[in-house]
Amino acid sequence: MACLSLYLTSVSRLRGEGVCPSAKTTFRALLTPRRFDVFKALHSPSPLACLGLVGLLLTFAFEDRARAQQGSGLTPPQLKTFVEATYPEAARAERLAAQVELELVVGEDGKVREAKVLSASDPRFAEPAREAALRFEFEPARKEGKAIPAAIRYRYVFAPPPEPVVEAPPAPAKGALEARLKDPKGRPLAGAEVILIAPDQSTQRKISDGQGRVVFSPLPAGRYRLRIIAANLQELDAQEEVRPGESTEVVYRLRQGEDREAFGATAVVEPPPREVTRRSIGKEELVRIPGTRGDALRAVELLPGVARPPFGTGLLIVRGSAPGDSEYFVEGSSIPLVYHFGGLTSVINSRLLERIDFYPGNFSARYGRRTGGILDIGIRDPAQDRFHGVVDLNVIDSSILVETPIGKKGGIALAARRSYIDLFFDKVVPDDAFSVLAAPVYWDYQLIGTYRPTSRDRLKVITYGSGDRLRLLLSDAADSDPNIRGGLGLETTFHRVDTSWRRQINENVDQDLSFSIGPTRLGFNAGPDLRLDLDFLQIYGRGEWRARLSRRVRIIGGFDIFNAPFRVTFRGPAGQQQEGAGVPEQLSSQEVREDRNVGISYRPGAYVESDVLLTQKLRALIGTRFDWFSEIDRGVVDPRLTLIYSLTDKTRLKSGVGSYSQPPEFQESGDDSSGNPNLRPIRSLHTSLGFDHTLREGMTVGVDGFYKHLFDRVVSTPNGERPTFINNGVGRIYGLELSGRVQPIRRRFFGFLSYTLMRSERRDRDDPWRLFDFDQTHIFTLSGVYRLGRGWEIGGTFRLVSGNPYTPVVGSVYDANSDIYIPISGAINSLRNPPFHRLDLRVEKQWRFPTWMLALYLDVQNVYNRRNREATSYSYDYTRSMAVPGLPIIPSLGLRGEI
Amino acid sequence: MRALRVRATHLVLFCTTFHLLGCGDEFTPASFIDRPRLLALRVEAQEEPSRAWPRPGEAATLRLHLGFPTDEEALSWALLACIDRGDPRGIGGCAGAPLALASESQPTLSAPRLDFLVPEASALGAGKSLLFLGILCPGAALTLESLDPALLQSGNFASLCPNPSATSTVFTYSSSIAVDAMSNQHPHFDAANISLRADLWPEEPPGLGESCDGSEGLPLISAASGSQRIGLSVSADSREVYRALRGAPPKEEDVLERLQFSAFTRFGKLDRQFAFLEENEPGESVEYEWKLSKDTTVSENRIVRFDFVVRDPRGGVDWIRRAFCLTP
Repeated sequence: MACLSLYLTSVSRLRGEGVCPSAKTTFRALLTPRRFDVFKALHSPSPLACLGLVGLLLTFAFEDRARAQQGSGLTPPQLKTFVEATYPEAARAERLAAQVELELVVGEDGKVREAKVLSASDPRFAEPAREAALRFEFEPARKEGKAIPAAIRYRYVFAPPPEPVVEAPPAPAKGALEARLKDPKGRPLAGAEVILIAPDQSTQRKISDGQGRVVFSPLPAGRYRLRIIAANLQELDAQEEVRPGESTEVVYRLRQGEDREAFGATAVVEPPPREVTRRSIGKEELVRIPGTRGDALRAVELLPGVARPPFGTGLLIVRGSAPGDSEYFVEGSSIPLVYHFGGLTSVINSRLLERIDFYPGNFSARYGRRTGGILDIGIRDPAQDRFHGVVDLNVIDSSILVETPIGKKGGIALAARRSYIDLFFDKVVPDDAFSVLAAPVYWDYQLIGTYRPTSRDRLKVITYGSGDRLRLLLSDAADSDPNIRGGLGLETTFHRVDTSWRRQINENVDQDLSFSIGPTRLGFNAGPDLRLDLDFLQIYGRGEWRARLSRRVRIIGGFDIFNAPFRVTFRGPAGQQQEGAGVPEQLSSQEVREDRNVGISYRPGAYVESDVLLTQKLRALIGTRFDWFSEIDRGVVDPRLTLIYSLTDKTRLKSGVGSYSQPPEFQESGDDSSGNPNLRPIRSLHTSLGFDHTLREGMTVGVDGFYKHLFDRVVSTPNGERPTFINNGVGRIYGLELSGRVQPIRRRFFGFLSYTLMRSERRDRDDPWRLFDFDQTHIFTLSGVYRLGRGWEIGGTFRLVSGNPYTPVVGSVYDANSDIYIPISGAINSLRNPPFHRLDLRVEKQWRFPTWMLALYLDVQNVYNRRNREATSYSYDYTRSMAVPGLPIIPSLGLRGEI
Repeated sequence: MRALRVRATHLVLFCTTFHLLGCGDEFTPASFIDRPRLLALRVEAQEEPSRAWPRPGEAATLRLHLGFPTDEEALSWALLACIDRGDPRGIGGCAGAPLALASESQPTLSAPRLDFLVPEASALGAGKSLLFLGILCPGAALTLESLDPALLQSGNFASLCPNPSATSTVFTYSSSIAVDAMSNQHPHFDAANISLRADLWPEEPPGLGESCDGSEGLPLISAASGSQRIGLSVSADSREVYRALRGAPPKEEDVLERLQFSAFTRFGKLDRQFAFLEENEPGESVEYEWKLSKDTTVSENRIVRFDFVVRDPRGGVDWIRRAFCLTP
């Protein structure tokens, strides 16, 4: 499939000097022929009368072979006559900036036949922009030389009117500034907009000529700021000194920049420079990856560095770290639960996700209290154009999502889901297994509201919650553990209200304030001697300020506070380390205790990070984070450093080193009777080195090597003797990740390939080194989705992963007190299951109607029903064993309707 | 907190799925005796065999209850008693040297037993429990001459009983010492209330083999008569009320003893191994069901034997044996 990019520049200028007319506007127009891409543009307010009509940079990318443009002679419309719009008087006093998005139909004669307002940041600007656009004249679009009509998009940007001119003193001797612009390949860059901001904040705008040249003359002496904007290239910000009587000549070379999908999702072409490694999955990909049943969070399991969780559970195992060492965030706020029933489906409707940012290591100082990885889920804003709705029905649950704009500045979205396994669960359960007291059921909801009172502010409120419930009555006690009998239950619920306020304070400073609060309840029981009831109220606040101090230096500072009053009642065996415990002992063979604890977990944190452009190619991010853990009365300081070197505009080298800490689990640092309140924080040192390269637009490859060392891991004392837990564990993790990705930017195909080679080991106390519970030496994933056309789409995901280690049972001891056999573990994790492999396929057919869409999909996990060994089950005396296979073939049929 | 939530969720789901899928059904159930098995241990104060907790300075005996598929088999064995170190989990450990050792290094039909003397209170130190460790080797000689507690606790005992055709059994058992006027009595099966098909089920006469003709005084059960209901009862005084710490924060309260029943057979199958009289719930009886497996045919009379064991959570134990004559 061939893609062709066509760059078109048209320049139009309106310039005024001296006393300006009362209405001054700056326009930036974006031509958007149907299915061609657009680029963004910025403006700045101009207090002076000199405004230029901005040149246009158009970027077109063609999709599929039918539209291949090599030699086809297809040219989009080109603006010939630009008409300035009237700044609405009603907004003049407010000196507002505004944007109006228009759809224009340009006829064969180059005249605008229709102009339709798609959106406007302020409704008062919509009609003036539309009226002016109707009077534009274009060179019409042509195909093989013949003029054809075309539909395109325009974005008008209104700058605030200038303040009244004050008589200036006689101007001093003047100078000039000449800029020569080059593209990433070093060629002259024509058609780029250059905005010159004088010391008094007045602006001039010019378009670079065919030689990439822009001249501002005459200019009073002083320090000027330049902003250079060009399609598909990174905006450049620079400061230059103009001296009287001199012409300052500078050369700027722009770098490859972001791209923006026509429908609003952002596909990250290259990670932002704050992280050594950040992997993002965009909106368009999130719900289409085969094997995930449309569950966006499942897609993370397919990324490099992420181990496969056993039995399809939702454990997040990142670069050889335990699941409890990584954290999920929603809009920067920690979330207590991510999946229903530990992995069935995620608690947030995938269609509300804007993106998932995954940081496998060396993450920014804005995240703390974890030594593994970070997953930050971004919730998108509700639709701003019109009402939308989605109903999804499948064999397990149903969900609904509705969203609508509210006025011109806000929007609201509501989603809800409920399972219906409970409707038929008791009919499929064998009578002799257990009685169903409460069949498994789960539900979740999300309510999102956004409001933009001004162009600089955005308020967002997200209310969400989730619940799982299951209660069974076992018919008989388990042969291997008579304490597993009677009631078996699980109930979890949580609710959250997250509010955030993002404000652009000025051109150089912005802030984010957020606050989250909500209760969480967890209750579970398994028999008479194992019960947990946990209630806590999570209160979380974050404040962050970002400032650009100069062209080369940005600084970010912030704080976040996690506060959770809790109440916990526990009956069960004394705590022990979870990871590396070997073959688990039965409840019957362990001493039962009861604990009740009421307290507050208080964990404030603060961070600062500077982003310094050391040279044109070398960027350094230097950060420090401080955390306090009230449960152990200790604080930590974690310095972090990231270096990013842009070898070329398409290739980055990156490296990072940093310290990361997390507190012990609350049951480990409990009071003297059950835990050890004198534990220290768990520490980790992350180092990484890698590169990523953009082959072409939306196609990237990367290699990342990493090494992590874990200190002060919490491990059990031998046989659980006091103080029960100690910081005598260490770990080492090292590996290599290869990744390749094709993003769905105007393509029929998207997909990715990832391979991880890794080793994760632990040492407990003075024991020899052993494998980590989820060490997977090789993790290979290949996934792709192809849009066939006529509404058909197919996709597949193949995984080949090393089997998980396990601990052999070398014998057993008969416990005459309980009439059970206690397994004797061999060397911990000394054996390994056979390799795991699985193929998932997905096929979807869409029917599009004028105002709605219907989709039927089939998602089949484990297409060839591979019986991957996941665990081992034993006879009552551990003399015989058999393999326990993982999930069999699971087809999931669903129907989805969207408005 | 999140790690605990995740582990709790997975534990409940695993148990549910395990039961739902019938995982483990392919293995011989624990209630089926297909090899020499140690079914229970019992500590008796020699002066008062019905008391489970010996007093300091008192002589006591450890007795073993064994079950064999058919006739009794010779086995070698070794037993030791020591003061329990009090490990909250695992197979336990000795606080100090063993109090007593006994062994038969060559296979023998004599029942294993260990006589020992509980130290005086002044010598007990902080220990309030006894720990018993031992090993049984069917049809083979033990290789060790002296019993090393550390060796048994290490789990490295595969070489101690080198009979590739038999399965050795290493066991651990803990029992309290009666101090501070606290004590515990063994529960006791009520022989008058052991029933089969609601009829009194008498004890098996001694000296019977594997076959029967209906004259042995055993109940007669036809193989075609389907499942059989077995009723077990304990004496009215078997369930003691004792003071124990309960709740959080823990406080002392009166608790009616919980009893755990185990049932075993050598032919056919029982519906379960364990049955319970739960703590603080009144009652003295439990029921089991026995039936033939679907693919089992009975072509001639045979005696079907059962062992039943009852335990309280503080080391008290009792056992009985019953049998019936199964006809085609």
